[in-house]
Amino acid sequence: MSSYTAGFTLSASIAIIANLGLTIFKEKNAEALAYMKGLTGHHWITHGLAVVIVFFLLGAVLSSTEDVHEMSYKQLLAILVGSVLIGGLGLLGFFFFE
Amino acid sequence: MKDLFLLAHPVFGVLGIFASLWVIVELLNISPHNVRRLRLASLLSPFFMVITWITSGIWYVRYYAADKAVILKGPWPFAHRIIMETKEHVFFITLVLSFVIPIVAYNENLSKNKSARMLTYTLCLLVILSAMALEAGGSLIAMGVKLGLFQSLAQ
Repeated sequence: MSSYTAGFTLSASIAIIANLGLTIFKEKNAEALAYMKGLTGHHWITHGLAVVIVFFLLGAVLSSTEDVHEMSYKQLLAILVGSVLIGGLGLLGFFFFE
Repeated sequence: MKDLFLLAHPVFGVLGIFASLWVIVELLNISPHNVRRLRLASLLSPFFMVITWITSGIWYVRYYAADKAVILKGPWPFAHRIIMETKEHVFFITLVLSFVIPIVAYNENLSKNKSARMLTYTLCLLVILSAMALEAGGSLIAMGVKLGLFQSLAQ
């Protein structure tokens, strides 16, 4: 497996969970929301940029990490699918019960 | 002009879905002869998703507030409180997944590596399914605006 495949697939999974975490954090914290709004003019823009930057930066770092290279495709797939389910259903559940 | 942004973002979202579907079709028929076309298709998905991000962002940041007010006063306030709030954050899942497709396509020998093909299939399917869920969410939001306007006309 290419180091980039492993690194960026894992990074995507982490970014997806970070997306959920950042959403819950900013919705529960008015100061954080205001700070994010202040950075770019709207909290959603800041949020999106943060997730994308985390994905690319973490992908670059993980691509050069030895342990990540040793992951199998099955492990990567399981983590990827799991993160999408947790991230997506977590967001829906948060706003449903919020 | 503002309606162009509203209309453009689901169109480019669907084009992103089609690009991911194109990758799947090329994968199903993978050989050394179509790798170049598959890699082109893999670039188109994130390209269209980024345009979706920009056009939806312009609409959401500059023009959505009026629609939001109508939805919240109407019979379907959940169209904003649950659907829109979820949609605007789930989109980043779709976006990030679409970025990984070309990374795998350009760094793996997909014609010889079955596991890499499975990973690519999975990425494309996740993009397609999540993007279709976003399209459905957009329909519900539009209905929320419509019902809110009907209600205000009836009063």
